[in-house]
Amino acid sequence: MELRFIARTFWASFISSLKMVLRYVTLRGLVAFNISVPLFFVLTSWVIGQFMTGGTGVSGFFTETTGMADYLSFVTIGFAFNSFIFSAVFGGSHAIRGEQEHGTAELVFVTPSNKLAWLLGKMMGDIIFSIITFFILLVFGATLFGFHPKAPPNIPLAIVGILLTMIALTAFGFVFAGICFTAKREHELSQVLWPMMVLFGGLAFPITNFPLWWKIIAWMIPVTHGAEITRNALLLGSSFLDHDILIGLGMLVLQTIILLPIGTLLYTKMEKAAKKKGTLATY
Amino acid sequence: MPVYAIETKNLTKVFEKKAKIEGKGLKHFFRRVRPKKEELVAVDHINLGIKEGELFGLLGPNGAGKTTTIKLLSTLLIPDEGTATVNGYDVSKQPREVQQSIGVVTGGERGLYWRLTGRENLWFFSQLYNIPDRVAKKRIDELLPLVELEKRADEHVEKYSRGMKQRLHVIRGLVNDPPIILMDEPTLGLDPGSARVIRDFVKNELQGKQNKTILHTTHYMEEADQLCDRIAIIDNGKIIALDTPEKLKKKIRRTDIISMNVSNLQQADEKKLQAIDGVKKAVIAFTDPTVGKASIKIHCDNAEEVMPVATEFLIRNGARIMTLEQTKPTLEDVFISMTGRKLRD
Amino acid sequence: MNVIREWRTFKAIFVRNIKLFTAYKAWVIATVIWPIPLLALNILQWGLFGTLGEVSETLEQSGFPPLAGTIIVGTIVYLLYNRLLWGTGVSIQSERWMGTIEVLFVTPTNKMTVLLASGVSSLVEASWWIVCIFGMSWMLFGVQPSITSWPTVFLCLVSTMVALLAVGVFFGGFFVLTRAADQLASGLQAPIRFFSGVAFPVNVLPQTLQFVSFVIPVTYGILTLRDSILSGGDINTIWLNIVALYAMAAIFLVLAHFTIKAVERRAKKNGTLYMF
Repeated sequence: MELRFIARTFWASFISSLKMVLRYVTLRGLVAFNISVPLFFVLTSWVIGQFMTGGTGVSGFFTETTGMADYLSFVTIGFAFNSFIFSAVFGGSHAIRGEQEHGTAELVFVTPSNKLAWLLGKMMGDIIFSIITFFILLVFGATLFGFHPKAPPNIPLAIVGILLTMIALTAFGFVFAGICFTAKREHELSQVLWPMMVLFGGLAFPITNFPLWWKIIAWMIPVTHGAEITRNALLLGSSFLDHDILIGLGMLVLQTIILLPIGTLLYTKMEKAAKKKGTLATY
Repeated sequence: MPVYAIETKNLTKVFEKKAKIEGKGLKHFFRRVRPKKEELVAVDHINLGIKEGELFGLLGPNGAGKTTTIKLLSTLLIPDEGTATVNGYDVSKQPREVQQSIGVVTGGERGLYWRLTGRENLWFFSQLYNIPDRVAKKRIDELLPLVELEKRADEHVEKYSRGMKQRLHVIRGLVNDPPIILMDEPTLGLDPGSARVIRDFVKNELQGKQNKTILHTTHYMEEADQLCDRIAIIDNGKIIALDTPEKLKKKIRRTDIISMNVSNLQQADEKKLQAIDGVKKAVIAFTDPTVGKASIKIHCDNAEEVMPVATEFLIRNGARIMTLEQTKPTLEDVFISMTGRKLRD
Repeated sequence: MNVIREWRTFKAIFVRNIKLFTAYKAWVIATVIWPIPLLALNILQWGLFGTLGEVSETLEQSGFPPLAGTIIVGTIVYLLYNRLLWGTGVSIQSERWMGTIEVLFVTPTNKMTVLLASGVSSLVEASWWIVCIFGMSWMLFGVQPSITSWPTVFLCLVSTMVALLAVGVFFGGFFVLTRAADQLASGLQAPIRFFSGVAFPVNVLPQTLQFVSFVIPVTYGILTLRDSILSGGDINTIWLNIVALYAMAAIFLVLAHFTIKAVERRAKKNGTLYMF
């Protein structure tokens, strides 16, 4: 019974928010917006690369550092994860803010529904768009710059990496949504967190030669492992049993196991604190 | 001992606010940078007991604590002191059970998803109360005609008028068929016609036919007087009076006044009028003695008892009554007598 | 035009926005932290091709300023544009979200004044940023400015602000019509960042793409500031770009004047002024 209620809440939240998004702006506009940020970052890397390599597009330094031939594929896959950051990490806080602005936050919170199921439903629309964006970006990258894998890509491994990353990032999203109750400026806070995730996660450049403290932070971010697994799967044809892949998968599972309950607990506590302070609906 | 649908014991809510800093100069500037916090007691140890099937009013001016009380009872706020039970469930310890037992009706332009239709809004909220799809659709189809929204149910809410949005708010609060309804100023900002529709619906349909327990907050005294079985008057977070509207009005010492304009009055028989049982004072002032036109004011305890006797006396003595009105004490008078301020201040 | 009335409106909107900005402590703190990872990202993106020292050397050999300085100036101008676009361009949308747009539009005030005031208050926020970024960048990245004329630097900064303010006012009016203001604003950021040479000298772009760069005011702002701060440029080297900035400011302000009137009329005709 409880599971059915949770499923019902999730579905209602997902369908309603999807309808509102589709009626609010055209789907083409939404996808275009979601693609433009990572696409132009990749183009930036291309321009820099053309300048630094004298137009050849081949960087010995990059190949030596990563073992991969093609820096643009590296960056394309890395920045494709950018859309996941926006949807899974910031989708929840964006949803809370939207409810507060609509004046519907209290009406949702007065119901006996599971609020995390409701929040997840609201985020799911963003997550689906981010998956679409991810694949569109990969297609763009392959079309514009070409992908040059060293071995046949391991697509199942890539999919597993992406899914596990999304689950772990969603836990982050619950924490962030809870913070939004108090901070009220989710847009600005997300603008601070996003470049940090891209920076430390090694999405735009390899972090192999970076100092230890940097790598420790990187290891704590799910997107670091997700991007590395996906790159290795698609560009090096790595298998599930490769040492680095096993460690990466293990880290993602561990982070999910740790982050999901922490995220859930923190979100619940912050919701309670907002009810105590009377700031549930304010923005 | 009666079982209460809603009961509060010393229910209290305190908010922090920044202390106001007067003055200019550097000392006051630094005080403004880190102002001290003051406490604002929004709800101050209130005790309420609302019976099942009762339409209970919470009447008070803006900022009295009505909305805060509703939020405490609907689990949107956590009390700082005291307890509250709704349908037998504690609001702090059993919020989920409380949420399942209530419907909350708010109002205003917000609180609805503008880009969804009225029907879609109702469906969405029904799912958050775990109502199966088929049942929800049937319930929505039953609710829409009650507020005459069935023809516009499939239009986006952004196209609705204020009155229509309010009506949608009302049935949104009923979508889970709760035994207890918390209504926070449901007629605020509506024109008299729309407000009457809502009031009639609350009184006749919700209480009359469906026997819901309703806690209704308002600052419109006429509304509270008309609708409510009992009223609690709240001011500065405290309940200052609680009783039926009639008993509340009787509590204050105030005389009824019967005002008449008559013609053909032969003489100013004030003493004979004052001799009528229940009359405290009678004042006759001739406006045109040639035709016996006069205005008469009779101060009495109960206008309903004195009026027939006084009018019969005047008619027997040849007078013709041109206008007749009575003023009785209102809830505003009750409020003024208790606080020294008007309800609308 | 009643100047006193417009000044009162300007002052009211300006003071309100500053109060709102400082009311959210999280945002005040975020404005100090936000530029740093963005700056680091823009700099380290070059790390695909060598150590930062090697990259900087390659840039200098090609006649460009050192890497850190190039990126810092580019990022500052980009953040300025970003703040003015959001602060000004989305100010009308914010009024919608807050439910105050109709109350605002029913006043006899000139809507350009409203947008200008929002823009200038955003400039105050942005100035706070610029100070923080310069201070921290100097410490963190060891930037060595090469300034020969401080008045030139000041002129470049002011001219850039004026031009970007005009861009923000123009888009602010445009956003009255479309209700997807925030999506549009976000969508514009990435291409502007690319074409204006935030993360690389704009001359590094292929020739075919550079024509896009030179219709964007942000490009000129970056060029003048890089020249005056990092290359010892003075008024003789940057005057043409300054003229371009003011010309663009004038064009955008004129466009804004007509756009705001037209979209306001259209929104009132359609009854969509308050809808979001």
